[in-house]
Amino acid sequence: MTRASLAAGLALAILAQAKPAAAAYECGGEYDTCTCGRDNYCLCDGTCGNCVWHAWHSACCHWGRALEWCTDANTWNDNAAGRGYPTGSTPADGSIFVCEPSGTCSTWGHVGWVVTAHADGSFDSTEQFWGGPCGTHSRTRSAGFATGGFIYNPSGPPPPPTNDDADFVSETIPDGTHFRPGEAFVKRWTMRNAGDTTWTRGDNYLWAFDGDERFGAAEQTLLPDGASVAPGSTRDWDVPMTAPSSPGTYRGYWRMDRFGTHRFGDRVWVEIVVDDVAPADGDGDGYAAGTDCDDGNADVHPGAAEVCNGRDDDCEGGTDEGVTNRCGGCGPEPAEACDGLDNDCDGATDEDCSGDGGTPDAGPPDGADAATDGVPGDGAADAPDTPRSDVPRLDAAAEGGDAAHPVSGGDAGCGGSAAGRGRSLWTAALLAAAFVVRRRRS
Amino acid sequence: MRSGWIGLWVAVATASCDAGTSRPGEPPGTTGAASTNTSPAVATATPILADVLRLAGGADRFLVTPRWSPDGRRLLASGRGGVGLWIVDPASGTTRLADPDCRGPAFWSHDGATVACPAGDTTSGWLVHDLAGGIDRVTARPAFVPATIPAGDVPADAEVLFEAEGRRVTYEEYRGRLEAWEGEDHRVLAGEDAAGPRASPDGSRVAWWTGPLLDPTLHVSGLDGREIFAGPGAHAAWLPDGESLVYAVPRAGAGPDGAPRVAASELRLLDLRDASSTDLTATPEAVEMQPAVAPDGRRLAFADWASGEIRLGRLAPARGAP
Repeated sequence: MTRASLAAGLALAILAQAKPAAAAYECGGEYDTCTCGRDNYCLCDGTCGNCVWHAWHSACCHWGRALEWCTDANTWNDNAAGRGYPTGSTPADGSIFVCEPSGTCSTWGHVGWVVTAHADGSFDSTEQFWGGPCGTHSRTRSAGFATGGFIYNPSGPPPPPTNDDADFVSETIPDGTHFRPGEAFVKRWTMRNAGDTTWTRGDNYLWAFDGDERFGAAEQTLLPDGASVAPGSTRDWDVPMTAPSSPGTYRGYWRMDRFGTHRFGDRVWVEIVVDDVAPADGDGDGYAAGTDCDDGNADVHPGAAEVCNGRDDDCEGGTDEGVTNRCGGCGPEPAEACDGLDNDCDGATDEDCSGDGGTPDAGPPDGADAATDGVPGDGAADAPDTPRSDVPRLDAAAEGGDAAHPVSGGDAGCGGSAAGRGRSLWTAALLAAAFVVRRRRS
Repeated sequence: MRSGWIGLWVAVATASCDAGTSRPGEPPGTTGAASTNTSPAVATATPILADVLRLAGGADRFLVTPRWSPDGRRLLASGRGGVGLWIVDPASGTTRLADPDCRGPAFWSHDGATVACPAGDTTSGWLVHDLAGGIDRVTARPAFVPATIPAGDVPADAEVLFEAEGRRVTYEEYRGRLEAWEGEDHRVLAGEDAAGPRASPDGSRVAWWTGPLLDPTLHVSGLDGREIFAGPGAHAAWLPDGESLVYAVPRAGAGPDGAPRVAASELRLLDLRDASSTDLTATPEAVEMQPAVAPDGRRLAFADWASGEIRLGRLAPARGAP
């Protein structure tokens, strides 16, 4: 700091009191006394401290470097990265920590100086705070506090030379290999140790997933205990994988990793094609199982005509919909018989019966029938007709659905319900009883 | 395990029992008579550390920051620099990598089935690791990680260290501010620069340190603001009874790289009933830090920052134990 700059700094300090938005020679009890090519032009902003003033000041004093920026803390990472400053996530003595804007570090973020980095990731720091607490504080920060990482001295000692290197040698599963969805496979990469370090598990060398599709594989493949890969020798890395479930082309990357240090060597990949496998069509009707509701019958498939056969031909979820007769069965309705039943399901019972009790009349009502003859109020009951062998007889068994007496292609009468069949059974029994009584009376 | 280490430890611990207690601020071993307890009711439970063994880590894997599961059956540990997360079986020492991407300390869920750690990137996200398998990245703070609340007078959040029965202790790391609430009463325990605060199990006391870890001062205070203890130390870990705590006393020196480092550290037991301090370790070659008391109060895990080992010892009653 020159005398001239000291004077200028004092002037700025005076100005700072009058106009807060001015660079400060003093901030939080510290003075811009270090030499790094220019004066501290950061704002103290009229308060008793400002984190950016102190961080800039620390870099000036310890790095001998005037940072090219002194904007809000939330811009420091971008400024550093944009100017080629080395950054990272590990605290190091003599670095700048950055806490991104968050609940932890306020909406403006926070920066400070790392004095000593500790083994657990915590670090001792010196800091100032805009708006207080006042002054420069020496304290311990927890591991993970610096969510924005650390800015390192660009002129400092270079990072330890890394002699880790790995060359690709060969692989299985060439690019474009086809797999079915969900099919399992094992990808092998053979890598040569092209560095001068020996890879061991104890030294945290491992094979790591490095981006894009992971194929359900482990993120890390470890060396077996006791195994080592000397410089110049090769290692086969076998990674069990599973093809994705959707068709398409997929690629994922893997690379050597010295855990906690860096990744190195050739970045290799696996690229496969997952086929759009058409499902089987067992009956050859052009519709695959899953779409075809009966893949064993070529007459059954979506779009097929529904016919009355007791099954769902068009795969719409219904059976014989729209193609049954009035009685709900297949084919024409049964003929009406003079039996007290609505055999043809037209809503009338024994219509057109002439009073013979069994056969519908061919002509108009004879005026002697009871209700069944279609002429109410005639006052006289018909004598029953003599049963005829050519007319289906609704005996109790047949009406009840006895398998030995199938009626009209499956179900007798117009109802398919057990209740309906029960009612028909009772009706038939009453008719039979009436017939007997009538015969006895006659 | 290094030959003779346990034997050394038993001897050291026994010596500590006899003459290793001291008043706060006094060097250990100089005021043995001062540790006399006047109350028989509290004279029976001061533990010493025995049967210490090297549990995990070391030359092949540098581990730090042990943290017990709620049931005391497992330990979490971080790698060097707080990177990565390992799960250690305290019975066998079996160690497995749970999550390589963790950056910072991890937390157990209350049922011990899940752990969470900061993702360490700028998203401020958390990595939640189901111990039955699988890692989910979330951006929200999991429910079992201590909650945060607005700090009030600065645009930063405060972590809730303890909350029960109308009593709350909050910590805002940004300024290092520690506050206690009891009903409507509000008290600032530390206005600035507090680090590593730990509330006692019943929330009636808080321990923290100030200053850099190379030269820290441990503070213990009641929620009424009354200072119970202040002396060199950091990394407090409460025993279940809330009457005593284990802490580290680090000392600065030149590290292997020649830079200032925590070059030595020993563990001590602070008994708040009489404010006496008892040495638990005395191993110049080790840097014992980060003590973690098991939920049963009978085991103590800690990190040796020199070797990268997690060590485990038994907290045995001494000093007039029946």
